[in-house]
Order: sequence, then structure tokens, then C-alpha cells
Amino acid sequence: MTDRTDWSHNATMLFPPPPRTMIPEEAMSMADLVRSWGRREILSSRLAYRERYGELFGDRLSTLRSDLGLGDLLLPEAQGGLGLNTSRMAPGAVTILIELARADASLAFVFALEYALEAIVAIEPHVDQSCCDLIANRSQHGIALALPGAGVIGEEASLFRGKVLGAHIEHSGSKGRLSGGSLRVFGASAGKGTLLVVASSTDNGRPCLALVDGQSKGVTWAPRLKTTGLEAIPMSDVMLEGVSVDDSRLVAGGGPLSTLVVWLDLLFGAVSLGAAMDFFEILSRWSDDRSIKGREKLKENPLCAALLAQVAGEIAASTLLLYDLAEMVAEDPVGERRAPTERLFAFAQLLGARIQRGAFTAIDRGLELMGSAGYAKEWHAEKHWRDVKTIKTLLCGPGGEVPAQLDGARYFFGIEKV
Amino acid sequence: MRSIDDFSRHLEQVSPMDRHLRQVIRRWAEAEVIPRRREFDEDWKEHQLIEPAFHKLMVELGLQKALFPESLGGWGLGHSDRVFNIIYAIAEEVGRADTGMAVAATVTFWPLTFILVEPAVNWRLARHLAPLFCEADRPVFAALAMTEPQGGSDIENMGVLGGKTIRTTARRDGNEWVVNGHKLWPTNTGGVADLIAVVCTTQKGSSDPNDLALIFVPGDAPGVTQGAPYEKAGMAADKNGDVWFEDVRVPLWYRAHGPGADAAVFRAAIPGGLIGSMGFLTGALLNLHERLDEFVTTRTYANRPLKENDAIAGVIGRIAGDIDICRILGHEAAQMGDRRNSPNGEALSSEPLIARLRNLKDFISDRTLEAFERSMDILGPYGVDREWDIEKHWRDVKMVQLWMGGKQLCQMEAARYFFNCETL
Repeated sequence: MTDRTDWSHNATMLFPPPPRTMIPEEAMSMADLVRSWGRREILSSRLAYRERYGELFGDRLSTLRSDLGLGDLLLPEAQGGLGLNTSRMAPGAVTILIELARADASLAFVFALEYALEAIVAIEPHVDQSCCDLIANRSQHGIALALPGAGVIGEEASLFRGKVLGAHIEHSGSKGRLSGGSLRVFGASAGKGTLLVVASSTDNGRPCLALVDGQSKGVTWAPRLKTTGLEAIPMSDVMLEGVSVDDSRLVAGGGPLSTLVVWLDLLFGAVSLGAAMDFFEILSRWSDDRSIKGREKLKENPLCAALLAQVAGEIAASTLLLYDLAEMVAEDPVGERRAPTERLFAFAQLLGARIQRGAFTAIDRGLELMGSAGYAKEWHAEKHWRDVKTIKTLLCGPGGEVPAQLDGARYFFGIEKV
Repeated sequence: MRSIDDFSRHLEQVSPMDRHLRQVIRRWAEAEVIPRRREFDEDWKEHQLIEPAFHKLMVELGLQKALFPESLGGWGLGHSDRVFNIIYAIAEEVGRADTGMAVAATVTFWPLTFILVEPAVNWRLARHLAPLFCEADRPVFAALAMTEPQGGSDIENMGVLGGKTIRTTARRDGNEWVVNGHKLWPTNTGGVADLIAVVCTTQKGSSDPNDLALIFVPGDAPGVTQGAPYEKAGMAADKNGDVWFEDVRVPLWYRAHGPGADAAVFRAAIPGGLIGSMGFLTGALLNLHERLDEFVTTRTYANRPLKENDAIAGVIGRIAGDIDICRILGHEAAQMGDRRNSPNGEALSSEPLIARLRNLKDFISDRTLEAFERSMDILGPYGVDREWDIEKHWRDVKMVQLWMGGKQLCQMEAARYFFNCETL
């Protein structure tokens, strides 16, 4: 029997390691750094971090950007990035985000959004200098994203794979006017320098992404909403009325939007998996000194052991799937239209949903075993439960897993009308 | 148009007062809870918003006196042949509005069932406690203190352990009991308990049912310390905290019954907790249907209402189907409780009844959580938005799934009963 004493409660040692051959050395070093930082700055003082979350979150985010250099990971060197702007960085980005999410899923979520956007505009060979400059020069207020979503009854709208493109651009020369009612956005709030990224339709109904300053004239933010998890990640509704958008701020075509979705599937998967790994460590420590039936160590009871195994199995499976997906992203040929292949898109949708389900199931089952300890905030387990559910739901979008299933059906079965 | 009242239940078993009671509670819920419940999470400690709603329900509508006999100023539910069906209706209607409030309100009944439900009525205690509940001009809460730090579900696992893990003791000293111990997580503690029924042992380590004692303790008795409420993932209206008992003295007649009888009524109270739990869950599910229906009717996918997409309809159809099934099962569970005195029924403390009810509670809990999880996914970013109410219910009902021994105890008791297991 292998002596796992040194690995007790250690997700890094117990779960499949990152495939180092796929990951640039700089990314591995960064991931190691983030892991150490997370343990030191957050996990070692969880209670204080939770109690002063509003105050400490921004501080930690700044440190990650400035001191650890996590900001602009995928930007070209010309824009202050690390020059790792190829799709081959996908596994590296995943690894870094997993380590960060173990400390705090919301921190990792912020960077996941940034990296996903950078993946559209900065990945070789389709570098959009203007958009890269825009991202590099924004202030620290983050990215607010409005994905294709649910439409409203009675309103016919342009669609992206069944979901409504909530905003529309009317062109005049090289400028457009962006309008859209009650778009659900998440990621950042109304603040100086917030970059609002809106899935929109152009004059001919084709999809595009519009990058606008969140404080532009014509942008109206509703009050911030209360949400299930990811407490540091704002969500609200935004109205757009004739917002002026230069052509240089448009990323046109369904290809980039599909690329965004693929990278969100991947990177949000990394965030949820990181949260699940930290949950595993909490559960592992908790189960070590609990007893059942007055005498038996809880984890030595076969029923409880089987459940613990289910938790570990889900995390292990999700880890393997995530890196498989990362490898697919890394190797997908980036075509003329900056679009992922249909194959990659289908796999990203299906695996993205599967990874989320796996991470959530692991936490959900483990929480059930922990009982009241799982439900009370002081054990820090329920935060992961709420955070991962929030990520899963945001990623799915309206319709739940159905749109992703239909994407998969289109690819695997050549379905045309659905 | 379908409404929540179209979900199934055995109408022939419904109590004559059911319709009226539900209408009254529903009116209260629409006026006092539903417009404010989105602020309840932030109110978990102070209850500034929650307390007025409790006041209306428990004092002005009189719910807190429901179990007491009419002769003592109550509603007389303790003598009713349909007490479980009525409690189910209350749990469901309040639970539709807010699970935490449903829990706090109905769990106040729970320890009172030890002494107010036929045939185990303790008239001396009933007369003594009636003014506290029936004449109060403020909400009065009772708690049942079971769980201890060293073991979660063990105390409820009476069939196997017989109470031998209980460390809270009751020692007889002259005309008094002296209670010492530490309890965790009782509903209606965290500073709000006016009355606590404490599950004690008169002989530590004993599994003899004669040594289990149910002792009533005033919440503010000298030596009782109610810790601050825990901050939880949900269930803001239900306060839970640590309770310490340090040489707490109460008269001997504060014991529910006596040796042997206490263990019997404790075991007989478990069905009440399970049935109430099912009511909370189906209540939340009914509200889920209301909110989900609104979303899938008014929002579109591919420019058609979400509900008109076959694949999405498949998901929501399953959700509605599960709600219907859970409601049938929950009401059957209530009926199983009310059958206790009939030739077709089983005693509340019987192994067959408890095993079946644990099984039903486990089943309904799982279906409820699945229904909420899928619904949140269907709503996308609106699913985690408190304005749609679904995510709050989801957080609240999770606790119902976890308590009363959780899934593992339910599974073991079901296996024990249905497969005659001997060593579990």
C-alpha cells in the first residue's frame, strides 16, 4: 500500500497533474506561484478573508495583476503581455486558473473572462491590434460581458445558435450605433474604465461582439443584483440607446463569438474545477476526525467511503476531461474566419457542460455528507457549492444544457433543422 | 391556465379545514412574506423584516397555539385525527413563501408533540406551558435540542444506538433535574428559543430506553447559554446556534413523561419531523412551478417561448412531473401519520413507519434539489438572480435534505427495514 501520509488532503498530489509537456514553462511557473500565493494570502486566513471580503477582494486582485503578472496573460508583448498569445497557451491558462480558483473562484473568474476575450483578439495569427490596445489600456474595473441570451416574447431578434443577440448595431460609415434593451451582463459593474463586451447583431443580422466603454453616453446600468454565488462578481441589467461604436471596436462574425464560447467553456471549467479541488481538501480534513454510530471513523464506514469515492471520482474525471479539451483548443487550426471548427465547438459545449456537472456533483455530494458543517459558512464549503452552481448556470445560459446538447447533436448526427 | 392547486393530492383525505387554512396562510404569505423575502438573507441575524411576518402568522393568526387543547386556549390540533395532514398543509403553504419561516414556525410544534398529541398528553406541562404560547403577544419559539458535537445523526439512530452516544445529562437532585451538556443546531435557537426540549440521558453511555429523558427547559433559565446564530448558506428565517447547559435546574415534572415513555415519544416524534420536512419541500416546489412557468412562457429561445422548444419542454415536463409525484408522496406520508390510530395504520414509533417515512423524505429531497438545479440552469443568468426567487429556495431546501440524519441514515434505515439487515 502506498504511503500517502505526505499527500493527505492534498489535491495537487492526489489528482491527475497538469500535462507538463503541453504547458509552457512560464505558465507552469506562474501556476506554482499562484498556488503558493493562494495558500499564503487567502487559504491560511479564510475567516478574515470572508469577513472582510469587500475590502480584501480588490486588494488581492490588484496584487495578482501587478505583482504576479496575471493580467493580460494572452496579450502580445507589444501590448504589455507575456507574448504567450497562441492557442497553445490554453492548457497553461487552465492550470493557472485552477490554482487561483482553489483560493477564490471569483478571483479566477475575473481572469477567465479576460483571457477568453484576449483569446478572440490576441491569438496568433489574427491579432487585432486596436482591440488589444483597448484591453491593455483599460483601467482595473474589468470586463462586463453580455452573452447571447433569452429573448422576450413578442420580440423577434437575430439569433446566435438559437440564443438572442440582445443588441443591434446600425451602421453609418465607419461608425455604428448600438442599441439593446435590458441586457443581462456579468463580470463587472458600472465604473470608470469598465469594458462592456456585448454580443450583438449587425445590419444584416450577423453576429458580432461590440467593445464599448461602460460609461459611454447611452449606456444605462440598473442596480447590481444579488446572486447565488461569486459574490465579488457583479451582475446587472444594462440598457443601450444609440451608443456610438467605432468599427475598430467591433469583432465581426460568428467565428469570434464561437471562439469566445469555446474559451469560456474551457476557462470556466478550470475555475469550477479549482473550486472543487479546494472543496475536496476541506472534505478530506473534515472526514478525518468524524465518527459515526458512536465508534466508527466516518470515512471507514463503507457507505460514507463510497460517497467520498464518488466525490473524488467526479473531480478526477473532470480534470482529465478539462485537459483533453484544453489540448483540443490548443491544436485546433485557427481558420481564416477566426472560428473554431464545428468539431471543437461541439466538444467544447458538451465537455464544458460535463465538467461543470462533475465539479458541481462532487461538491454537492460532499456537502450532503458534511451535513450541517457543509451548510454553515464557517466551514467555507458552502461557498464552493454556490460559486460553482453560479458558474454553471451563467455558462449554460437560458435553456440550460439544451442548447449545448443541440450543438452536439448537430455535429455528431448531422442534424440541420434544429 | 394551470395553477399550483392542480398538482395532485388525495382529496378524499384532506381535512375539512384544509381549504380555509390554506387560504388564510396564502393570503398572509402574499401580503407579508413574498414581497420581502428577497431581503431575508441579509436579515439572518437581526430578523427585522422577518419578525413582523412571524408576528402576523404566529400571534395574530394564532399558529403558535395550534397544538394546545381548546380548553387551554389552543386550536386543539393535538386531538385531531388529521393532525399530520393539517401540519403538512401549514408546512407546504408557509414553505411556498419561505422555507426558513415554515421551519421555524412548525418546528415550534415539534417538541410540543411530546406532550400534546394523543395519547401521550402531559396535562400538567400542557397547563403550565399554555399561557406562554396561547396568551403571548409576541411570537414564541420552541426548540428541540438533539444534535451534539461528537455525532450528527447518531442521536436519531435509535434503532441501532438507543441513545448511547448522548452526552447531555440529566441528574436528579431532590425535586429537580440538573442538566449539563452542549447541543448544536437546534432550529429556533441562536437566542430566540423561549422553550427548549432537551434530549438527555440519565446514564451516560446507556442504550437502555429507560435512560433517555426529554426535559423541558426555559430558554432563559439560569445556566442556559444560547450562542449567536450560525451564518448559513440559506434558511435565514430559521436561527440555529450552539446551546450550552451548565447546571440548569428545572422541576422534576418538567420531564415529558418518564423512563421508557420519553424514548417512545421521542421516537414517535421523528415521523413529525420527516412529514414536516416533506411539506417544506413540496411547498418550495409549488413556488418553483409558479416562477419557472412565468420564465419559460415569457422568454424565448430561437424566437419561440422556451417552453415550446421540445427539448426544453422535456426538461420542464420532468420537473413538473416530479413536483406532482412528490406532492402525492408527501401527502401520503402525512396520511401514514394520521393512520396511526386506525386498524390499517402503524404506530408512530414503529420501525416500518419510520423507515418508510425516511425513505420518502430522502426521495422527495433528492427530486426537489434536482428540480431546482435544472430550473436554475433553464433560467441561465436569471437562475442565480435572487429576483427570480428560485435560487433562494434552492439554498433553503438544501438544508432540509441534510438534516434529520441526512441521506446516509435514510438509506441505512430503509435497507435495514426492507432487507432485514442485522448488522448495519
